[in-house]
Amino acid sequence: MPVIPLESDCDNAERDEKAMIEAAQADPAAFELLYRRYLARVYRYLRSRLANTEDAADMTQQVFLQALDALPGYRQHEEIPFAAWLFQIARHAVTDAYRSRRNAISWDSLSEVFLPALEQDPETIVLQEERLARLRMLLSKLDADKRELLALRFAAGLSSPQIALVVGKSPAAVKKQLTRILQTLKEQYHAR
Amino acid sequence: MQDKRMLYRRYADLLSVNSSPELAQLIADLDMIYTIDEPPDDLARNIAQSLATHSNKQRSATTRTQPAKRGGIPQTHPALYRRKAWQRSMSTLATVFLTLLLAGSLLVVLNLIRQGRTGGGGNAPHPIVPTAAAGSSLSLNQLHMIDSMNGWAWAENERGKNFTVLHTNDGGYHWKMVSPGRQTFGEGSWPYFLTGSLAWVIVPQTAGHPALLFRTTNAGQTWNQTTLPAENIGAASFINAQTGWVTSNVVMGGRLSAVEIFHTIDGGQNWTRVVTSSAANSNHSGSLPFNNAIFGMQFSNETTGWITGASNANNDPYLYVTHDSGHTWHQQMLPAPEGVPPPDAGMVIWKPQFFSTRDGILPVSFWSPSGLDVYVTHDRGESWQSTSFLPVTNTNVDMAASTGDPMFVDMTHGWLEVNQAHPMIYMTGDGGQHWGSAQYSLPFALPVLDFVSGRIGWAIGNAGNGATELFKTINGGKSWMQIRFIIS
Repeated sequence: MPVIPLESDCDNAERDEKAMIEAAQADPAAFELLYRRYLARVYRYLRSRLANTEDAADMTQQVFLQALDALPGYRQHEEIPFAAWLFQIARHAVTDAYRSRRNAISWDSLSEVFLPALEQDPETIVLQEERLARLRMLLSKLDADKRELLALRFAAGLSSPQIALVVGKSPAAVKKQLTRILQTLKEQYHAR
Repeated sequence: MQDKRMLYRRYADLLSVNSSPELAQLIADLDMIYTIDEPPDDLARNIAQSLATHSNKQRSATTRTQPAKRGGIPQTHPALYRRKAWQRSMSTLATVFLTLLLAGSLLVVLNLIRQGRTGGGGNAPHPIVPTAAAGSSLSLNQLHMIDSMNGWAWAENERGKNFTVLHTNDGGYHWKMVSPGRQTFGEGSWPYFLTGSLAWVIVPQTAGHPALLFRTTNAGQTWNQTTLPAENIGAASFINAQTGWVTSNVVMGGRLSAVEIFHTIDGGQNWTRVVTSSAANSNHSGSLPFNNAIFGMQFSNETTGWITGASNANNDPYLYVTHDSGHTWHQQMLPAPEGVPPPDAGMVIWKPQFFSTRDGILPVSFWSPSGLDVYVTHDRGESWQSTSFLPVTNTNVDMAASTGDPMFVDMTHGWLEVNQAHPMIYMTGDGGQHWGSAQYSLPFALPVLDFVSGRIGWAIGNAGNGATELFKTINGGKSWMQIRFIIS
């Protein structure tokens, strides 16, 4: 009896995405499926790179408008993965904004985290909030390129190879740099 | 992310079963920090609207944007180019915008909006408008967008003598002439837009003849024509296709001698005079005192409505309410603005605007001290409360009020443009409790602003050569992109 391999979730997701891209290239109205798929990730990445929610929301719109403009030229079989391509646009938009507003205050800003009071005693919540506040402080002291790598990995949800395509480095270099950043952060984070 | 298995799966490139608990904790916390933000509730909808509009634009051969290089990073979107230029010019003010609040407009220009929304403001003649550029047949004059896609415009021909109604269903990129028979309306005509499908045009006739009323209930596909009960129609308020009121200015000896209010419940076929406001009958109980500077009439339902205008010699507010469809009227008083000495030089009360059956706003411009206070009601207009006093003054010498009429889209978001040394936009995001301003350079002069939400709005701007241009914002007015529209 032949064994039919089951498709993994990843395979399904990739196939769905290819279909979405082809549909959107044929009819811009079908772009909705793609932007809804990536809306939260793009927004979170931009939110981590910009000063406030309003700017992040504005730029999220602009990024998707640009992506819609550029989509006819995107060749999924020959070019980079769609996620990397989309975050190239997002990164480019952030770079533009930084350049045009270089005199403004630092835009890097991460939202305060308020933990839901579920199944945790108040003391635990307070300790966690203090810990997260300390982590935010440590993040704010990182170089911009390091913060960007973290944003691409954690907010955008990109893999190291995808980040490599976005920032123009080798996957090995990105992986190595991410590991170093985390190692340094871990030491600072848990230092007493 | 509290599920450890999910954490290890998601960050398999960084975490393994051999990783230290400290690293796992760090990654879990980073994940929490970086994914705590959710897109605002309205972002997906705003993007859908922008994309739909943009898709329509893409389909237009005349407005095609530059294609991106194959597979590479696309060129910056045209909207961003405009945004960048705009923001560079005001970089030092960028942070001010983050907390800022609102805009207003030259009174003359706002009169255009007000007349578009209320059917005209009292005795004001037809709008004074910028002349159209030579060679262009039509120039936008008023805007009344219903939502992000659908709306109306009032356009004039090159000489400003004739007008036409335009309608869009793609956010302003394409406008269709929808005047009856594609005819134009003569000098002195003015529109009243209520919904995406309901609109009226009041058309004066030669002296001694009553004005005409054109009405469409299907976005201009068809119109019907009726005759109004008077010659000089000053203001109008319709609450649906059948029920409305108009004011008539009775002029004797070259002077305004009375204001009459007429009521229809059959779409304008028949009109009933419900009240006459003149000096002779101003003292009767329930009468409407005569005022030669009425600035607004607004009905919220079949029975309740307000007439507003400039205060009298005693600085009493001209704010009268009716609860019987206009037959009897009762004055409402307003508390003094918060935080400033009691104004002592009168005021202009703009028309009230309701956003629910109970909640509404009432903008009031004061002369001394000069500024604006947006009063609010939460009891169907039974009482009005001051929010805060915004000390501003327009510098135009021919202003009928110290400020224009602010544009509100809900109980919280409003804009006021003030023309001082440079046009300034004031914005509020909390219903007038706080206002922020920015003395930045608008990409156009003398704008007519029209918003449909706290973020999405349009502006008609004067390009400087007499022509008007259309701009759109998707971030509450922080930046504007030009819409190269087509009229067909």
